[in-house]
Amino acid sequence: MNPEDLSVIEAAAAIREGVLSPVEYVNSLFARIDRLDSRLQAWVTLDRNAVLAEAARCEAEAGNKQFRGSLHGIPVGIKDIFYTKNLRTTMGSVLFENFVPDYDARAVTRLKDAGAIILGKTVTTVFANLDPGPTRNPWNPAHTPGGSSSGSAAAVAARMCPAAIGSQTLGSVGRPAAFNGIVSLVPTRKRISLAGVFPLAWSLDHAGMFGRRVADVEVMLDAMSEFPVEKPSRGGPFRIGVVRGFFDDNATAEARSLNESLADKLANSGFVVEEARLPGIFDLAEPVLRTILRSEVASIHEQLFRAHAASYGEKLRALIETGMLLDATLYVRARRLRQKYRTDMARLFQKFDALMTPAAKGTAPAGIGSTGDPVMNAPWTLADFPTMTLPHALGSDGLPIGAQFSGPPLEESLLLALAKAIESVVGFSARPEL
Amino acid sequence: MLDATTTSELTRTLRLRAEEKFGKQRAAELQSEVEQMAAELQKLSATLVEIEDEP
Repeated sequence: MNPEDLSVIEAAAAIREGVLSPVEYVNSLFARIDRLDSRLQAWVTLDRNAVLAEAARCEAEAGNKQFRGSLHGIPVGIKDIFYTKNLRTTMGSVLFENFVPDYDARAVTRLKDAGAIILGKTVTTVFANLDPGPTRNPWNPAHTPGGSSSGSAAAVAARMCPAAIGSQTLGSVGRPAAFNGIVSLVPTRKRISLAGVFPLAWSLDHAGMFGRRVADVEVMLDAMSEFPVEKPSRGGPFRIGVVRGFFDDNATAEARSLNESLADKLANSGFVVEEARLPGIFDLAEPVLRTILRSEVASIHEQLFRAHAASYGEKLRALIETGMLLDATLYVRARRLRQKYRTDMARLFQKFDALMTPAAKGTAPAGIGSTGDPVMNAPWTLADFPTMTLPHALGSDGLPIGAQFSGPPLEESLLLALAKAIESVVGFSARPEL
Repeated sequence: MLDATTTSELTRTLRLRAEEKFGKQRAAELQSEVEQMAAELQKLSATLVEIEDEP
């Protein structure tokens, strides 16, 4: 057994059965990090002594058949905008390079309560926006891993940890999952508390998680959710609405073709697959989202930016400055239109259990000067639909391609059940050669 | 108040604001962002909202 190859579910079972030592587990992951991370740069901060002490505690408890929760002894990566008590949290910015919080983000507390070991802090783009960090794609280090949850996605794909958490304001979980060939889930916003998470835009920010199997993100969700995740309310064949139009227009020919192949495969595997037509209000998605984003980002960074403008990257700086030009009435108008958008878009679920699109425009772009385009993910973030990325193919460049599935608000169980069924049909088992 | 009805009028108003806030050079650097924002705002402004549509 190579511990680094284990899924969360497999590792948790092995720890419970006494065949996997939490101490040996973290040591094997540290060895892998030592071997790979100088090249991939997924991690910002690792406190090995603290991690080993925690692993020893987990091991002692397991020896007494005392298990704190479903994630007992499981090492998890934490995106470096989630506050972690006594562990440096930088937000990807030089302005916070020595900041050490004295409390955990609520989501981190919930992970710890479930028995997880906080393995370390993973790279975020600067303040979780588009100015990239140093992380490289494990499938091809000349390519971006996406962002802003760059380090979390790369670390899971490179098997430096079995699971990690991130955040999404436009596409910062779904897109890196696609680029790294792993599974992600961004639940309905109110599922997971954002207390103790440095915001990018309050009303758009969502917490999310990465794993290598659907069952792994499911157990992460159960641990992190502020209220129980209800079981699916219906059975029967899953109904998938394939959304073309805007999403086809923004995908590469390869991504489009592979997405259609997947849709055909699912239709031949017992899923009901039809085209889903977007309502007219979809045309407002981008202006609504960007007006909200600009205004809220400007408000969050107003004071810090005034004092430290030179420390801001160009992309975030432009977002802040244009946000400062906006009238409050237009921001409120955008918020009002967002509510209409959510309501109108949710009517699609009268006919479908999930909506399907490519999870990114194509495979991960070359270069690390950009983290790619969140165009495929942002409409669902705006709608606050729980959304998953599932890897399903490799592109002609050998990099992974992901499909995106969005479900009705607060029906994560239905989405997860559908995703598990798709996962078993697809059987994606490729991994980066590392 | 950004009550201009065309994208070009919005662009002009936003550009002037940017010059006041950030100076002429920076406002020129932000021109493409300002144009994009003006197009976005024009779409929002042109969309009817009802009194019942709360934020």
